[in-house]
Amino acid sequence: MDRISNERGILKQLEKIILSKRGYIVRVPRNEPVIFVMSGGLDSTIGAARAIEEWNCKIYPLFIRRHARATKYEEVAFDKISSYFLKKYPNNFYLPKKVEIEVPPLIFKVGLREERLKKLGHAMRNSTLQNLAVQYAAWLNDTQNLNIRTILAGNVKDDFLPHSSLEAYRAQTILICIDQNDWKWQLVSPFIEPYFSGRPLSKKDNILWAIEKGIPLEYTRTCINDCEVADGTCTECKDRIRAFKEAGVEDPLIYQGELKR
Amino acid sequence: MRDWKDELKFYEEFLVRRRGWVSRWPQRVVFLYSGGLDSTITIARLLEEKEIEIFPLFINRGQRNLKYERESAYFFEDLFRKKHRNRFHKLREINVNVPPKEIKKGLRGYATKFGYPLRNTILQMVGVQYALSLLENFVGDFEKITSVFCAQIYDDPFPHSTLISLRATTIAVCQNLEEWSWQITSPNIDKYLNLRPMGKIEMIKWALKQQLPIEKTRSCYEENSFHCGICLSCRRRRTAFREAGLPDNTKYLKLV
Repeated sequence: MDRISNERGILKQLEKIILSKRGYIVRVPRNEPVIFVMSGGLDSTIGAARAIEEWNCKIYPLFIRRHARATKYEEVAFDKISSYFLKKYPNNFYLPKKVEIEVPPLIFKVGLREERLKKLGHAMRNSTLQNLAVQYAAWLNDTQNLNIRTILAGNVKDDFLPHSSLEAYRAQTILICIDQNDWKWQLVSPFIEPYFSGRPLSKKDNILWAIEKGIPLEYTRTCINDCEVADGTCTECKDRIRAFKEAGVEDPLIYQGELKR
Repeated sequence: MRDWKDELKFYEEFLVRRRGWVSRWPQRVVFLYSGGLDSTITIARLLEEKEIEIFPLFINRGQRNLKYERESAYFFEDLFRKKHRNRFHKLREINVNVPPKEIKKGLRGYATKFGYPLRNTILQMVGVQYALSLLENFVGDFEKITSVFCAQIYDDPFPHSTLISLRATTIAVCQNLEEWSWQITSPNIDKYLNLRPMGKIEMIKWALKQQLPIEKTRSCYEENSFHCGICLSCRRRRTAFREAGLPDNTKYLKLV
């Protein structure tokens, strides 16, 4: 069985479980409070804006200081974006929450092979971040009498790591529902859901949408390395540069050297 | 699906379709060790009854009773390593606040009713990360570890402590790592592992028969050197000893 048909088989089986438990696989969280795990990056920034503009979501943003190489720069980006959204969407974007936790623990990152990281990313990283978002939702539900059942994350159709796939979203949704003993929970990306109209969306699609809406993409942080100015050479920078090029618009970021194009 | 048994069967059939088996005995395992009654007795059973090599992981997750859980874990590390030095590795301790301290205080009320949301799952994922780091950093010939064990038992009260949750975690881990040999499970409740399932009472009876000093284990959530005797964990411990009809040498502050 090749990888694609293999994955489709897994997806079908996971969706069968969800469907049998609640009669639908995923739904648009229109007008609802949601947690958005935001990194200060391009995708989560545009994802939050789209969820507000298109679905009127009430966003409770969560930033996780996960001790990655670029976390301090991601946090600066997140702060700028949050300030902008708080002014632009005063009824839809709530005060951000920040939590600190090593994901994965730094000591377990030592010695991990580059080849493995390129193929699979850090083991269970996204899943852990999403689980932390559920903890934040439970905290808000309990202390502010909210009814949050949706966690949003910003994966796009160009993302290729297994933990960014639809299969991962379904497996994680099942896990959350079981552990919370409540099948109303869902983990959703505003971009990759085939059950939502006009989806899936790529990075390029999102860039075009964001520029039309005047979202300040120069605030966002993409580079994963420990440098104030994006290096333009890491996988993420290359992806971003490619997407802007495909969209035919100028990337407002300044990169180190002449590597921008 | 009609009930939890149907649901469990569905996840197990899913695993069988993917890899031909639900769970199986590993040669090596990462074990999430808290220094508590259940995890201590489970490790002792595995060492006595199975040929298995254990890499214990103690997680400083910001618990109030850290000092006492840690004391227990290191006490039993010493005991187990005296008898099974080649099969019980040195205790690995790491710090990961679960839940993060910024929200933990506000979740206390919720946690008394339902437990901390997804706490066990997050800890199990740290176990997976430890297993991978062992592979990458072990010198010499080392067979990959793709098993993470915990010590959940049938009497555990929260949904994240059930076998269904462990099966769902196993599926999520296998999918994320694109490798279907992973298993996250508890030998106390996983019938496919063929270790006679035991509840707390049976575990206590077994441990006392083995002369394991289980009064040194830590159950109480509170920050006292003695067990408080009244928190949920203390009450479950006391009830189990009482129902087992065996002496409980644990030092309690209050006996209500």
